[in-house]
Amino acid sequence: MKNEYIKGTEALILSLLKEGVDTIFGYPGGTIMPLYDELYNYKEKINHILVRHEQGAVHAAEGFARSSGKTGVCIATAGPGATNLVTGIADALIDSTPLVCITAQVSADKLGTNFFQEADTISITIPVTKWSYQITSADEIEEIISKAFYIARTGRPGPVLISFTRNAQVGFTNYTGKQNSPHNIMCFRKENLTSSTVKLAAELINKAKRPLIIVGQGVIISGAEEETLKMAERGNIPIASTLMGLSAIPTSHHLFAGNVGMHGNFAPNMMTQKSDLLIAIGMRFSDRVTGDISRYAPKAKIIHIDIDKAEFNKTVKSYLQIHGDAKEVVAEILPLICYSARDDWFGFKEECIKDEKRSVIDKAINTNNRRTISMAKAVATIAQESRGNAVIVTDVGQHQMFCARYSIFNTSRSMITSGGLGTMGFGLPAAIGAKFGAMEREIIAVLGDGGFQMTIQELGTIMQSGIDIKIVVLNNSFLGMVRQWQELFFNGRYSSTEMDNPDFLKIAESYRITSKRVENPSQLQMAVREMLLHKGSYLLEIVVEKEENVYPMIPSGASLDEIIYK
Amino acid sequence: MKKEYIVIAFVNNQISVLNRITSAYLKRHINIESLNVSESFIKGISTVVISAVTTADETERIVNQLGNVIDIHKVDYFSQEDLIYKEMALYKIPSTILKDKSQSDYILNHSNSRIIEMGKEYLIVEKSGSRIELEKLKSKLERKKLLAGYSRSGNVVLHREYLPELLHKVS
Ligand SMILES: Cc1ncc(C[n+]2csc(CCOP(=O)(O)OP(=O)(O)O)c2C)c(N)n1
Repeated sequence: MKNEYIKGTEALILSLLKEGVDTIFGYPGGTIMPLYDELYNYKEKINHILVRHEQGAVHAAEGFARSSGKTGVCIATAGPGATNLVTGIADALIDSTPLVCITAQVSADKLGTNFFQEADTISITIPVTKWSYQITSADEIEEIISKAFYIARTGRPGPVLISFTRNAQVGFTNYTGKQNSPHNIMCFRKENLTSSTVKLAAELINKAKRPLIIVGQGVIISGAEEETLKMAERGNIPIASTLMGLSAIPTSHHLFAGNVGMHGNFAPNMMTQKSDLLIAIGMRFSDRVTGDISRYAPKAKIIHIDIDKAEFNKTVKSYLQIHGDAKEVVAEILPLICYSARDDWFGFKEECIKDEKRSVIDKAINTNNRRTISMAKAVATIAQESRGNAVIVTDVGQHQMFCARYSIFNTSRSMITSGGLGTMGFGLPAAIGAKFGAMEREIIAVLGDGGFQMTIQELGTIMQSGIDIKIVVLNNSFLGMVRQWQELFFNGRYSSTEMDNPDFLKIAESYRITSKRVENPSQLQMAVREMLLHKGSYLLEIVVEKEENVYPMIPSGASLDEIIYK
Repeated sequence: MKKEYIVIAFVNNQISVLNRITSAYLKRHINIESLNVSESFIKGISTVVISAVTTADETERIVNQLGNVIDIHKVDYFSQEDLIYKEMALYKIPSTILKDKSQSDYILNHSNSRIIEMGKEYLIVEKSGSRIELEKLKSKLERKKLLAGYSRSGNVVLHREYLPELLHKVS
């Protein structure tokens, strides 16, 4: 009888394979050893990437999900292994990234005894997961893993945590391998899009004199890039993007007006304030986008299209809410849209773009008479030299905002960044994961010297896995973004933001990663070229101006028209 | 404006659901005044009733968040006027009051309560009603130094109207 039964760990791996998983990021430990032992048997089918810290595993899984559109998988042992995942899980929840995180747990009969490495992972992660479940019997595995993947990717994607007790790992179960029956989950039930809603939306759009489309990451997640662009072209409507929506629309497109928000472009922010109709697609009106809500888009009606009903009227009140998948909704509205010239509106857009170029961009990028490299110039050079074809993965800080402002994107899923949580340390491991999610693409991690050091140990993962990613460290010897705020809002009192940094080249060298440092503006372009031409991973340290600020800026809590230029 | 809102959720009878529900309040620093979990009229599905003093906007955000919880089938919020809701309380009172008619008359005959146990030293009295009614009796007994113990349940509720939509969604 027993022969037909397999171990829980094998049932888990077969369930992962059934979901199409071929890559997982993880770190072993006592309680998860049975699963690692099983992985050894499946080396050919599942590529396990050994990270150097569990935070690296979860951010890599996020990067994988964001570059590929698939669900990222990471595994960790019980207790400290599981708690080390928490930051990345929270990051994935707020940035709608589908993850299945599997953590080991002590045997069910030992739960609650403070057994070695017991931490209550389920309770710790409840507020930061979309769903979680503790598997305490091998018989639950097949059903629960299928449900976990279904939940992670369906509706608004998010992280799912599975706590896998040791007894369930080593217990036996009758694995069926059957295609799983559909899961009936109430909150994923779709409401039918009524033709009157579609008509109303189209009417509002066709009547609008100054409409503006704002795309969020929802457009990327649902694969609505093409429909959105077609709708914009058909109606001749300018498009703006949130930080998370970047790369959904090619930056060179004549309708693209730039990105909105705190360090966004002048045009889309000013256009928001003048617009009579905002068409918000797959975005959530974060405070970084809206500034002071009471003065946000004062003249506009808002059409809000989102898969998550909870986002409607949460902060900004909208005129029409359309609940559904962005791709499906936009496809319905699209044929009803009529062309309109909107000369004045586009005139205003061009005027803003010119204005920003003159007052901000030229100054930031112009290298004449400069002895140091500006971050803006560094990012612009990377964009130019990679011709907008690379995936830019950022960390958090000034360099992130410069990447959002000065990068060129030709294809979707080319900007991977921690938006909602603003997690320093995200960049390097996310870039590793992004590479595994899109092997054919060039991955460039652009990091600050602060954030790089938060997960710098993942250089080891790059060394061991032998992947090819480019790492650019924009070194200003400061926690730049915090320093900028100290300069602007705390009387220039630089409290604990200056950094005494190690020799990054020596570090790279010890990880067998080719590296170079560039300080002179005249050598920047060559250095970037050399990096891009290099076969294999490469670290380029660009020593940048110490006290450069990101402009324009809308101070926290101010209205979008209260932009500061310098 | 802050007032008492009652959130009713129909949930799978599953380990972590209650945690997910209370976490939506904790996250917003809102104190839960009363919470009751009981089996609903459908097998495997429990009804959770929570009341908290807060604003309509905040309550709506909580309900929207809960609407996304995988193991919640249906959730909505109501104000007190929409619902028939009752709580039950038990009062422990020294048996000596039985000797003093002026004291016992109110409890026995005018407070809409009933004695459910009569011990040598204490009576246990049960009363159901709105929280205000229950608390009124409590303070009355306290004032007279007659309260030796008190325990109150969470809300049990029924909607005044017939709600076919709700039934449909849950079943
Ligand atoms: C984990 C974490 N800790 C602290 C912060 C606060 N923070 C935001 S930006 C920033 C400075 C980042 O400095 P650096 O990595 O050097 O990048 P730069 O701003 O200089 O480009 C800090 C400390 C954060 N976002 N995340």
